Amino acid sequence: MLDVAGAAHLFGGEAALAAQVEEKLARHGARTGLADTPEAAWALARYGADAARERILPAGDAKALARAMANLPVAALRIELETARALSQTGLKCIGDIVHRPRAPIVARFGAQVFARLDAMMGLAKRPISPRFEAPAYVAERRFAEGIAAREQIESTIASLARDLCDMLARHDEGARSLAVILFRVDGAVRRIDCAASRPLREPSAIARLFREKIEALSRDEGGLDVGYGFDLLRLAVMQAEKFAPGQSGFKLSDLAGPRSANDSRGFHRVARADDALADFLDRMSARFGAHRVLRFWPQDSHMPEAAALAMPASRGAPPQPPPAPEGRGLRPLRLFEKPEPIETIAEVPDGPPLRFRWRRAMHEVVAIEGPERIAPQWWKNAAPALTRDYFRVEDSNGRRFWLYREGLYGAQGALQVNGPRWFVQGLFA
Amino acid sequence: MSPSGRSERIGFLREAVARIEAGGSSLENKGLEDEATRAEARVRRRAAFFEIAPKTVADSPAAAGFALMAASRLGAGEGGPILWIAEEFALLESGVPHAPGLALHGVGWGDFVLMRLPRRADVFLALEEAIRARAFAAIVCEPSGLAESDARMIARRLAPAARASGARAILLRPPAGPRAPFVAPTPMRFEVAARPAPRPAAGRRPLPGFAAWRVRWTGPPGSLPGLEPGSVHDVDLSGEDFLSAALSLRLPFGLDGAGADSRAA
Repeated sequence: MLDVAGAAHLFGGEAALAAQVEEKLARHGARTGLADTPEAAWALARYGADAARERILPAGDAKALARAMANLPVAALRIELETARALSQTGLKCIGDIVHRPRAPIVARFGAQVFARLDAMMGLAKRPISPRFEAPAYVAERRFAEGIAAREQIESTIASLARDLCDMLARHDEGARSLAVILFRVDGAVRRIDCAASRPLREPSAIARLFREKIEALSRDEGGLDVGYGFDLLRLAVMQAEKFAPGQSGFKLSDLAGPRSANDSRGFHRVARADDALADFLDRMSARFGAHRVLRFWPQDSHMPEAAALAMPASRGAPPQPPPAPEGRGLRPLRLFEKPEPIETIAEVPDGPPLRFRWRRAMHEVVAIEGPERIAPQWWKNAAPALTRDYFRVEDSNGRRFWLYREGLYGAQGALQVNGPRWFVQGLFA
Repeated sequence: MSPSGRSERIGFLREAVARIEAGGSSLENKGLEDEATRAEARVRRRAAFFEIAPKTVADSPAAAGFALMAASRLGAGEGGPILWIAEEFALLESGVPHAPGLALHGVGWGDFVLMRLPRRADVFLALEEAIRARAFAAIVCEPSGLAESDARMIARRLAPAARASGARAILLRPPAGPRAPFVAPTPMRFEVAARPAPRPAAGRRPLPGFAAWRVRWTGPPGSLPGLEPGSVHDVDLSGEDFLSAALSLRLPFGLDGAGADSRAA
């Protein structure tokens, strides 16, 4: 099952994509079906017409979906074979035969599954697609005769598994970038904990520390691992491995050509240790608080201030150097509000810069001003029209510096600008 | 005034250069430079934990700018990025550090890591971990408030940990007052307010200046020789290039123990 929403055009359209898939899987006798719901696509692939084009339904057309499904046999509902046979024996052979029938008698006799599948097929009920996880690169696991429940036991088992795993990684000269611990509970429930590293890891204690942080965070936020009667199987898997770059701590300076001084060697190892300490800290904090809370700013190709820098997980590494600022671009503030705050302004003339403004219930007298710096909206990106912004750097009588902008232009007409331009404070300077 | 203010700024910079050439620079003399370098080394050894508070809530951006200037100045040449640990609520109130704006203060995109944490306890936990990690040029910690228990933790655990590990940690706290006094057992305690900066005149209204602060030293009496508690000093970064200005700025308040000498070109 593939979710191809928004991706088909990359293959020349849905028909071309389906043709490519069928061609590649021709020796397995594969047929494709494309529809708005996974259930309908499944039904079309198995019970649809022979012509491939007829197994592709137009997107967002509920009537076409209903028409196409009506003629398919009830087995296309992906119900149990015996239920499908029993429905056929009562004369309900096609999906169209049951769509408009009263539901209660059918549910009473054949169970709720029939209409649950039918609703999912028609898009009336959502059924998520369960993704298939990639097979792990390396796995180590331990079984227990009786379930273990103590956190210390679980952590020490993970540490022990990490040692086994690191031996495997060392044999292949690789390090782990992404790891998962899968805990199988005695009653069949499965719990999965994922961790990522900013550099290839091959140190058992570092791996164990990452999972300790993660379990600590789970204990704090979700009340723990929900051990129930205990776990009888623990599996530690490397989901993504990378070639292990030799650690600088193990790097021999004498291997380098040319003479080096003792100071060089000390500096070299100090930098290596600092890099390791930084990566270790970022990994541990990302595991504890979530990768979305430990961030670095990456430059973006956008002139909109709020989109110029994108906060990305720090474990991705250091960002590239941003391109030089364009000629004539004004200064940017030290702090930026994620949501610009509206202000009231008083100006000499309607389209002039403000003489004073009120922000957070305090009046500020403008004594110095720089601008406007006009920033046009990204009309090629936004589906909805947006307004032009004129930015001003202003200083008030107390020496506080603000970054204000006026949204919209005087005299402009449009649905977005019914009451004239509006003013906002978007940033603050030191 | 030109639309971007560029010609006025160039004129302003020319004036600043002329002032420096006329003998205004404190670092132009080699002997002084060496002395400043030695003083910096002494500062780095002593300046383990800073506590910086804005004078009022409205001065928070000024205090943040001063903290960033101190972080980039103290961490220069140390290696590792600057870590900014902030509570979500503080970011909501004061805004998120903006990468293009940080660059103006001498902090590159790659030299900055931001941690946005939902709870104050998490902020202090991360600060303690960062101090122990010794992986950062400097650490700035920005909680949205300070409870009594937080003050005790800072005084008894965090400041001593920073001193022991040699990390440079800066607590950027909310305004101090009788009910929320300065808490860190360190001489590096400052109250920062925004101050009108020297600015180029242009047309009817002048252009805004660059970063400028009025800083009050609030360290314990006698902890820095020659400084009186409550003494006020003016510090400013002139010119468009904050980076070079910040690097040529002598640290205020005689942090080298030589007495107050706050002004810089």
